[in-house]
Amino acid sequence: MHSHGAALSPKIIGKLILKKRGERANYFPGNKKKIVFLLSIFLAVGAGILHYVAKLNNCWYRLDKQIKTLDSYYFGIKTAIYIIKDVNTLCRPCMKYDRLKDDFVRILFLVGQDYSDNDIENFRNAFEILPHHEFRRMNALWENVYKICNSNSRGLIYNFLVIIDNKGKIEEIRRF
Amino acid sequence: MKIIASVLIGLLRLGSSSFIWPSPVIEKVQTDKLNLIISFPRDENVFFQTTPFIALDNEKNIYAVDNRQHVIIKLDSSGRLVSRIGRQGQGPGDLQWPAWIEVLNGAIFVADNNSISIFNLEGHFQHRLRRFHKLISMAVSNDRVFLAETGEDKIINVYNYEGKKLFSFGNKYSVDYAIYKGWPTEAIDGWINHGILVCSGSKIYFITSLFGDIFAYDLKGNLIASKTMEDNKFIERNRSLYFKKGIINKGDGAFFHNKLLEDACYYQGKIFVLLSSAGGNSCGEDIWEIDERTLQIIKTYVIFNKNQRDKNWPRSLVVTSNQAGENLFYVSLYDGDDFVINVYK
Repeated sequence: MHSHGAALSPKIIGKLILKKRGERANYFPGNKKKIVFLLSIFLAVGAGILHYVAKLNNCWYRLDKQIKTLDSYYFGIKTAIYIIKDVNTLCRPCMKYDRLKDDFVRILFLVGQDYSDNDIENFRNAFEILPHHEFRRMNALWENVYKICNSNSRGLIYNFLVIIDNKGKIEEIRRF
Repeated sequence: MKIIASVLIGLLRLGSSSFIWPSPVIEKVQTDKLNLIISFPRDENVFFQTTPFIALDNEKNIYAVDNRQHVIIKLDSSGRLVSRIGRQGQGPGDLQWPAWIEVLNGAIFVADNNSISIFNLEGHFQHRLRRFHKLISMAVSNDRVFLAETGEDKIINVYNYEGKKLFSFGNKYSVDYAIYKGWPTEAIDGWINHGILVCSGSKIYFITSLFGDIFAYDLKGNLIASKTMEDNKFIERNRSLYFKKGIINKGDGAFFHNKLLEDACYYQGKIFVLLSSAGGNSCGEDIWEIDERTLQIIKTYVIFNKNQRDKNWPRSLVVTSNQAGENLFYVSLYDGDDFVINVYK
């Protein structure tokens, strides 16, 4: 019988299965059981982290690509883009706006496709958005990116704040 | 003598028709026991996952908003499923955690986490108004949507059906935020000013959930009359807790344990107030009938006895009448086992 490595050797399997007379069953004998156990946990956690990072990167990548379709106007200066579809009134809307509006930062609000002019005006008034901060409606491509960025949120739907440096590179993505 | 008497009567009438009019509330009024006639839903394909908010149309079809299923369930007058309106999502016609519902002039107005969506009675989506403040309650008139919201100086915001904000009215209670030690002001505002909006067609009534105060406004937002609830231990306790002591920890009771009332509605010159389980226990009553002109309680109704009240948690009330002209009370509640809509007479 060929051995399939130390972890699955007949000796180990035997120890796992056999119950010694007069002793309590020991299904994980010796140090090797701890190693196998810990390895499996590390693998599971590692796979979860990798999966999460892959998703996040995908959102980052797609946002980076999509932002470049906006007017180059926005890339001469540090820019903040709020991507907002629904304002969850229980959470803090427009994260960091109070601070960003006082900095030398261009601010753009990308809102859902079906926002009416009245909705946008009510939004401005509700959160005291300064008149020179622009509102635009998302197109289908933006809606798709928004969906991708929310694909890992376990049923919760987030809005996003994307901070872009003056060369058009994403500095930070925050979800809220 | 006649002149003096007529002057006094005139002054009394003037007093009754305007401005703040505090008076003892829970006077000895007639109390009726209501009997259960029927319980909905009566369709094996329908169940509620939470106590629904309800509304009726002229045909007595029932529109029940199930917050957890994110839909409006339309039942016919016999309790059979007609349709499910909306689904969970963000798109037009989708709903997220819907709560308040009103049916008026062939349209359904439903408030969810983010907006007010308008459907026709067949369930076809018309359009929606986005909201940007925390909603307390909603009422609808022929051309306006009234929203009680936190986050601004006034408590009631008025929009047209297209979502254009027209004006605001209604003062908040004045409160010393310092006694709350760390709670955000918007949360405190939300608790203290929590109340139910009721529209009669020509007036708007705002009844506060913790204190039972009633404010009557015309449709332009002018205060016509108000009435302060007095001589009620439950309310006095709430006044002391929220205005003098302040909520400091959970030992003071969660907000919903302190609510006096759950819902209210208007029917034929009367405002009907559904008391909460806790409020009902303190008063020994479940529904108050209030005269729209004097704002006095003119009749009370009992649905549960004390033991039943501990198990039954009412949520929403609609009053209508049968062909014989008798009032029918549609009450959604959790009866200890199921979420149901009971009809009482």
